[in-house]
Amino acid sequence: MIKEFQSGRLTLLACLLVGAFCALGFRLADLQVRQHAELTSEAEDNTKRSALRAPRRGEILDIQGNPMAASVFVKTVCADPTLIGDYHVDTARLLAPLLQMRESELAEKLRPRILRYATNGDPVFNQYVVLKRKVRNETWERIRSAMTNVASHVPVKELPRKERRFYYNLRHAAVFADRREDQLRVYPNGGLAAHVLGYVRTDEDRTSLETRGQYGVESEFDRYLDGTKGFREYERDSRGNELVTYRRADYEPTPGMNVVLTIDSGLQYIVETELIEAWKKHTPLSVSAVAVRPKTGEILAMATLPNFDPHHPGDFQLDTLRNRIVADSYEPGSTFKIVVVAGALNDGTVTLNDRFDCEQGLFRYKGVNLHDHHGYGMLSVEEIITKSSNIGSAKIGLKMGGARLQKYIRDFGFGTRSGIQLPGEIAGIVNPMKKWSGISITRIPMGHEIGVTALQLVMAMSAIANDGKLMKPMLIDRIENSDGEVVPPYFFPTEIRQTISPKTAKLMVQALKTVPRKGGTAPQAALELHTVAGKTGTAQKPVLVNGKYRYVKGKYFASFCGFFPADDPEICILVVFDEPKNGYYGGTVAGPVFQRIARRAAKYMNIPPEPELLERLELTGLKNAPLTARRN
Amino acid sequence: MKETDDMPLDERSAPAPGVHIGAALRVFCFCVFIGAVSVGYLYQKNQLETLGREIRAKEKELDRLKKLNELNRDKLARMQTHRYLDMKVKQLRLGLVEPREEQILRLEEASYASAPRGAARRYVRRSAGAEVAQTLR
Repeated sequence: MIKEFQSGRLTLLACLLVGAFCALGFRLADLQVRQHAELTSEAEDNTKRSALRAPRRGEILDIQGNPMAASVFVKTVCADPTLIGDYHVDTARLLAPLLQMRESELAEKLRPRILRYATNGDPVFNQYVVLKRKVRNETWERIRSAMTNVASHVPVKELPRKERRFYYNLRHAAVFADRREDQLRVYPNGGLAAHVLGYVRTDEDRTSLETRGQYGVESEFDRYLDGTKGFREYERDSRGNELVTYRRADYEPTPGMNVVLTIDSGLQYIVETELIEAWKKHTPLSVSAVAVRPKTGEILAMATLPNFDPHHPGDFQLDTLRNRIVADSYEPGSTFKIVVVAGALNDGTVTLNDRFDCEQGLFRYKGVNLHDHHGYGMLSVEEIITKSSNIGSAKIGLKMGGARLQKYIRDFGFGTRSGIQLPGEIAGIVNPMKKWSGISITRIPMGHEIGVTALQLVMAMSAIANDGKLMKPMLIDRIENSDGEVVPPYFFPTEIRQTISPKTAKLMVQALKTVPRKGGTAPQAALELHTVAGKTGTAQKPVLVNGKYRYVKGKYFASFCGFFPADDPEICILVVFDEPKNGYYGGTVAGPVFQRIARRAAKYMNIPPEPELLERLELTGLKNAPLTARRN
Repeated sequence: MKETDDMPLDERSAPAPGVHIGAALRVFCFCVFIGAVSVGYLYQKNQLETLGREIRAKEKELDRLKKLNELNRDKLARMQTHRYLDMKVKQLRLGLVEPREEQILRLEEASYASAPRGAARRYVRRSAGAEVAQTLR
């Protein structure tokens, strides 16, 4: 009987156990089989994460390898107002100096706000607000450190668990950095070469913050500067720490390529500082300068004032952001005489010694007067350049003929884009002959009824300096990967065409050498140790008056374009003023600026002085130099 | 006396007293084996976790050093700009000026024109689908 009772209990126990195990087994099967897909997905949502890894944007370097634009990784500082609660004022007071924001503005952002109401009527508060973007890492570390001191007067350890949790979240989780990596584009030289470099903007989407070039080289070479994103898939534990052993995919980002310019930042600095001094003296609407190496077409410096700070381009007017050297055309005035004289010499239509009657400063052609700034009688072709006679150049144009003149205008690159690697370049205005007026043949040789860009003009002058070879302007020297290896596309000096013969070019140099001398129009452009060849330009500026363009007194373009050493040119520089005050002649306004830039550039580039000029200055010290060191 | 099935139960002899050493030993070894495997598994998991943490820590440190490097590079770039150097020369009153022409001694060297452009550059060249670094002289 006892055995039957024990046996019954055992059976009951066994049944209960079996029943329990069956229930567990059924639950197991339900979870692992029936709800497998759904629960797997939910589990993965809890633990699996994937992250895009932003590549570092490539740098823009000058020819010496100095960084002109670089990127640093920065944080986007965000906050969860629901975790801050009533401490938004205290938090704002703590963070405002670090974020460089107003306390009131910050406090308002940190105040919890109702986004909407849930279906059960409960309010849903915002849990994500951006406090500030582009915060440097060291500032972020200071913010994190500062947040640990929020509500430091509260004895947290004595509080109940729920309140302790609140203060923990307030100090460690309420202010956080956005997981998406962001970059700050820095320009170590500030606004130097701003119009060449351009600027960037940040595009935002759910997964990433991307830097995009907006203007200048940043825009033109955006696809090289922008690297390739990396990718990582991983799992994390309940505390959010990554479980390295469960890393699935891990691809390193490829940094962007570096773009090396032909610009020399030292020369650029020289040009910009001199332009600033010129600006103070003449307060023009704008002033620009370009420096080119004639033999290769490399652009060594390119500057326009007013310029802007590429860190904050939005703070400046749109007009200021424009690179006037490629994007603006203007009537060049007398600098354009080099085209008609070079063309006529090349065709054999004239020689440097041929003489023309400059009508004592007044020439009437087809019922319209043409004036010179001084009354001249008979002038040789060389003297027409020296004195910059409008009548002389008009007569050379008449002798040459419109068709040949038009040919040389095109050959020198006017009326077409040069193809420089900058956005916004225009072709200028070269009217076809069928649109010429009856007097165009006399106006175009003196640089009116034609629109040129500053870049076209300096390249044309460089062609004369380069034995008649017109070179393509070159702004990019090479593109490098992060290992310093040069990658395609490759950039080389490119000859566009032989515009005039080398012999003609030499004759032009001979004539242009007379301009900066006494008796020429630009004695203030001469250098003590180098022979300069160049041409001045003073052109009235057409202004819109009552719906028509008219020449107005007091508004001029003043320019000087020259190169040196004249017989073996190393550098060609153009300086252009738009509406200068305190003078308007190219020789007196632009010439001195050219001289100052050229003098400093010669020293910087170590262009040896010409021996004859050196001796003329009676510098005898070097004559007794030791044999181990020879004077050039 | 030999046991037979006809003998009453209480007369049959009880099993010989004492433990079966062999069986106990086998069970013991089996348990030790299971225990060792378990401990080994746990130890390995722990190692993996520790190494994972170390990797994370090293990656964080590398990241921090890279960012520090960037910061220093940025600082160096600013300090090397002509504007900064000019400002420092004025601030420190170093009295530096451009040399006069007679103070410059020029030594004859091979001219720029004689060296082929980019002579010492390394170019990347595509070759059979693979990029190879090649030094061109």
